[in-house]
Amino acid sequence: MPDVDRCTDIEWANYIFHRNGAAGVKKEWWYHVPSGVWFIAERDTARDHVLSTYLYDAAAGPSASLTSSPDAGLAATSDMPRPSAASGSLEDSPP
Amino acid sequence: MPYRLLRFALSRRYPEGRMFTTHTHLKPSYDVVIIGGGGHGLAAAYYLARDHGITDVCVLEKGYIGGGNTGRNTTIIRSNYLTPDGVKFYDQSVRLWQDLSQDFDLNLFYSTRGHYTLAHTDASLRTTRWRAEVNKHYGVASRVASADEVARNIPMLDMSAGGEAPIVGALYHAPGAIARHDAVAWGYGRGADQRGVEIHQQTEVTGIEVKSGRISAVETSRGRILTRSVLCAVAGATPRITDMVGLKTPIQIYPLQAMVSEPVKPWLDPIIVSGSLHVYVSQTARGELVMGASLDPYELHSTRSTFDFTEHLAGRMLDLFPFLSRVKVVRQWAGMADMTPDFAPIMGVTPVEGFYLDAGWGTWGFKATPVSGKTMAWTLAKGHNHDLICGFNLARFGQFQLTGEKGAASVGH
Repeated sequence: MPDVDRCTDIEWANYIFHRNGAAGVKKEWWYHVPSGVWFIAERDTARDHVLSTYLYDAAAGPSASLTSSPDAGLAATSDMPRPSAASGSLEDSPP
Repeated sequence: MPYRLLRFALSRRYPEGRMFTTHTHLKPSYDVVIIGGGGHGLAAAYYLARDHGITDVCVLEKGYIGGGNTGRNTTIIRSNYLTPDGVKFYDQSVRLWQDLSQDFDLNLFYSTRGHYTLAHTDASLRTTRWRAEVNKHYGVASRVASADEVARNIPMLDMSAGGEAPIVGALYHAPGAIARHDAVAWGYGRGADQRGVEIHQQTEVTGIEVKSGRISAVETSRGRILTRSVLCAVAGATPRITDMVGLKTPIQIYPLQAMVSEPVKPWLDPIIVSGSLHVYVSQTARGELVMGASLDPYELHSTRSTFDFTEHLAGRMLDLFPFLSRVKVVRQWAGMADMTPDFAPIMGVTPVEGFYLDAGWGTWGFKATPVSGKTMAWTLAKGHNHDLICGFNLARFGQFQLTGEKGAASVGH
């Protein structure tokens, strides 16, 4: 994220609007409605497979878990047949 | 059986030509390369050849022409938008649509039906009046219709909308129409082909070469093409191409689903859209009900369909038209939508010289097919943006000058 106080208007606008729109593994916020838990899912947006889910770690800071670039060190370890007990099942899981 | 028919059936040579020429080889270079053989790409090729005499053009289509979003939309054509830029642009499109079958000598089944956008709350009635006033100001025939008028003109409608949000009025847009969607790709394709444009199907673009900030070549699955002008018209897959030239855009891809019923007797003349229920429906010339709703809730690069979409849409349809409960849904499908933050397209020149974009078409691209082809052809021929598309340039995001069409472009937000 650019430094709000020092960046130019164009840099700020690009940060707000432009994004990586191509298919790939993305980190996304998901919300589990029954328990009210927000968590992060790493999802392959081409095949609609969730690769892993985990809770947000406030201590680690925003940069640790909120990048959305496909190559942020995400080696797909395994497909996610069942989410962990901590994160619960995903709302709107695809069939 | 008439003798002529029998002779025709047994003959090796047929009087009816194929729709367009199949080219076995790509030339080493073209003046213009158009990526995407859908309605928009083929329309641009047609107007480049017809209006500007630029015929050294090839259209590269990864699959078959019109197989992308051109063949997957719900065929609604209208110009009842919210912003001055939007209204002027889509109005031009409707005017072009009206003569298109004649221009092509091909029946597009263009049918003016009238279009109702139902309002279920005071807030949406306010937007309805706003749209009607902007439309009227630019000579587009839209007006506010009362609840009584809606009930009279659509007698099968449940005015209580399932009891949750009664209909309080509507935006009535007389020029609203439907057409045979993939036919427009065929019409533009044949017209372009007749004027010397080469259409290459099953040809995927694998890379684009940029030298000193200027387009120099396009790499494809069937060879390399030298060129100085590229038009990217692949809405639904735009980021894959813009990444090739290092361009950043706000586009994010979401699936948009639709479904169609079995044919029934004609009972629905106008096109009905409900802003609050987030559904829309029209009845084709064959009697089928073509229905759609809001976008899928998350990014996905796939045209897979879901049961919860059908279930939700059917439920809403029955809120509006309870008598349809025994009509069967025959087919469902999806397209992929290039979504933008302001629900307006991204068109025109880009910071990469020679690279032109016709993208960001979200859920509003089919109706714009003729005008986007015409304005993009003009833009390519002259090298700068046509007046009608100035509000849609990619640079607007950097200036925070968004063209806010969310109130009129889509349902479900």
